[in-house]
Amino acid sequence: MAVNVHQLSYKYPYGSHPAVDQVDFEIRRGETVLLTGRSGSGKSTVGCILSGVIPLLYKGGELSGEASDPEGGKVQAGMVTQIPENQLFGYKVEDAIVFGMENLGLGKDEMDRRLDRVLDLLRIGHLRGRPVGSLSGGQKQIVCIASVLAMEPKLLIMDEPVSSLDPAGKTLVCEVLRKLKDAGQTVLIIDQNLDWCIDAIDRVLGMEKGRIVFDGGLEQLLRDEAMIQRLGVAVPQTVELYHALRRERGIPFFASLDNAERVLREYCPAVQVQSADTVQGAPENEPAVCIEGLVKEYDGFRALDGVDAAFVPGRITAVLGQNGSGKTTLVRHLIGLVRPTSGTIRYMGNVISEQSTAELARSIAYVFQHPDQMIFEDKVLDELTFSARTMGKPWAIEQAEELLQTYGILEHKDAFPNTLPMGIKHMLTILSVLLTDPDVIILDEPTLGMDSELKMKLTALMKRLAGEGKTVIVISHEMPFVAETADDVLVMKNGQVLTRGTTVEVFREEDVLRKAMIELPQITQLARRLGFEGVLTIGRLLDCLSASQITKSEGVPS
Amino acid sequence: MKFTGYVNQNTLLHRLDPRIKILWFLGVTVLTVFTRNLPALIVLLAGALSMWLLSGLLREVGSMVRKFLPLLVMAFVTWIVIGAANDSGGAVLFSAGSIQLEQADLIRALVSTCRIFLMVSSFYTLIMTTNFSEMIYGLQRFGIPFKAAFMCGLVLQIIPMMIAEFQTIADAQRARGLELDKGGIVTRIRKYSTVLFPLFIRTIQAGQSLALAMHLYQLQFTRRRTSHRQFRIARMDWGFLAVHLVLWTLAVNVGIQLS
Repeated sequence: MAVNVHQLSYKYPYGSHPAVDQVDFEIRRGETVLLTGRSGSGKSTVGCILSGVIPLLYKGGELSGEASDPEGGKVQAGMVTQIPENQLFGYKVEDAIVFGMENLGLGKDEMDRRLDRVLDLLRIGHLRGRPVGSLSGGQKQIVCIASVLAMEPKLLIMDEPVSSLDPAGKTLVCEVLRKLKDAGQTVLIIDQNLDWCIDAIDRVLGMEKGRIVFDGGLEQLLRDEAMIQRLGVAVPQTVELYHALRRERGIPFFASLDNAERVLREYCPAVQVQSADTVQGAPENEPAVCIEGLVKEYDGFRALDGVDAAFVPGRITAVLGQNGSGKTTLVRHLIGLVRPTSGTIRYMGNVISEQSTAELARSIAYVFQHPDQMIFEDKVLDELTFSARTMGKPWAIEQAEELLQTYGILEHKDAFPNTLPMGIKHMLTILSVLLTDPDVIILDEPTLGMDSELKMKLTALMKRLAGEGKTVIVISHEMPFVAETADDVLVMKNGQVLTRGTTVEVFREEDVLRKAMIELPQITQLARRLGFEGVLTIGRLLDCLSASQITKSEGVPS
Repeated sequence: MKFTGYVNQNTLLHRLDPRIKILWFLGVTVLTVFTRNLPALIVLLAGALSMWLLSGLLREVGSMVRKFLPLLVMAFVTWIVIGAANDSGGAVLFSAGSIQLEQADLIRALVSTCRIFLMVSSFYTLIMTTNFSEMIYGLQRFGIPFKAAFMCGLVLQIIPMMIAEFQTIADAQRARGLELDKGGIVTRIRKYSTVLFPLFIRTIQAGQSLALAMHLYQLQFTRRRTSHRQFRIARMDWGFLAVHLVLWTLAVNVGIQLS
């Protein structure tokens, strides 16, 4: 056994309830355990206690109970945090990895041995001499893992290690997790999202209000829909589909794509090659924003290379691509935060280069990726009305409170915005610009930190805005969310537009998406394996499956 | 190239031992502080220019000059105005009523501008060619306690991040309809509070993250620490130092001869 936790409790200074409340669990050597639960459930606090951050760094709270290594007293844990940039010290990868070992006072030979070991284990020898700043988000997180592993902790704790990464970064970290598992490393992952690491998890611990309410195998959790909802865990789309079908048809469990295909072929026998006629062409509306031959250069580096694009009122357009592909640079042009090197941008037919950002903001709203960069006021209600007041646009207190009520934030209206959970802060910044009634709304990674409930509210909000004739542009790495919301998609790579069209059309271009390192949503992949084209959502696949059953029962050949 | 940032290249200056670069920076700074003689400053400038040329860093330095040009112009004009308002004696270059610009005023303005440029550019050259890991190492080898050396290195790592953060927050507030750069001085200060408050919060968050990371890597300034990277002062380093010692001697000599 690597860790034994017995009756562990912790109350933060000034906290009214214990954040961790008489928790008992154990982690066996070589196990990969997921500790999950909603925001504020106490899971990160457990990570802090096991890594010694509480009480050595965060002092003043009330800690009781025991967390020990049965073989050697104190738990020897190393921790990897959410944002690798905040954790790494050192200019080059090698400097960053040896930093912890230097602090331990190890000799050069021992450091070289451990350095070679982690570089080899994680297969990042080729990154050794690279500056940390030049790495992708995923590579930085792996260097972070390497730097902690080099200190040879018995338990490696990873607190939401992929929350700031793009899909390619998530895949990289997941591969590393498998390598660690093969190497016998004991790992505790703290995360609310299960969809990125499902292959590597041995056991799940679920927390609610500071207590462990679930301790069991991964499949046991995935089968238990009520527990999934209770813990607020994001599961793969195949598992969501299983539960939707289980309620209707009582089919056997599946979680992976292969199993889902096998079960559906067996239990929905009418599944044949069919076409789900869901392709909806873009209406012939005049675009609100039109971009022609846009080029942006920084010190000789071409961030945008001849981009042509159009954004149409009443449509939601998703801009997709890996980090560094030029998505954010493109949308920042639309509000004048970046001026083009060449090319034109027209809003309602007029070239926008003459107007200031503040002037453009009256019609084009841009919500930044990190809400902390926008939030300024000391009350939620004041924050909500900030843009409207700044622009001198009419607003009413009733209208503001109604907005907060609709999106579940009214109870926080007098709270200090910076203390709110990330997802709520994000929603607040979105609602803040909506109060100014803009025609174009640009959302940069709006789902960051949002749970499934908030995401559903955001989806409904975006659809309502498009329904009102607004032009909605969204940058997102979350493909199920894109599939659920976007009417059109624009795919970028290396500052160029690889393809654009309706979501259904673009999702058919698998080669192009592969080139941009974009993976289709699981449900679209599954539907395609089953022979349904143009399926983007679980609801649509269920419709197709139902239609197939009807076709079969009525004996109409498919 | 980012303002105040390290430039990842493999030039002559990059290859030098960090200790030699720190010595060079200290030498130039001390000489610049004590030299008020234009020909001596021109010798120092010529030395710096040939060093940038040999290292292929002229483009980066040009970019730095463009950024500092308003400051340099402002310094030059200020000294000209001060000089014109005072009677310095000597050859008169321009005269209008009680305002009189003498040759000595022009030289004084040029000297002051050159000194500012040399100080800024030598510091910039140091951080452009020495990353913070090397800087910490170099300072430590000079006997500076690791705690102080680490803090210096950390500042070099954090400053570019904070500048970028300030810019992003200002952009975020502009995108919310705030005209940050319009209105009188009081209005602008009030408007910039919308940038400073989030920056303050982000700085605290960054500080907390750093403290957490330092804890996770068991950084304890009371414990003996080892170093993985080992630099050795090579022939090239000694050569660089020797050339600059000759140059500095020449500058001092010129300064004494022509004072």
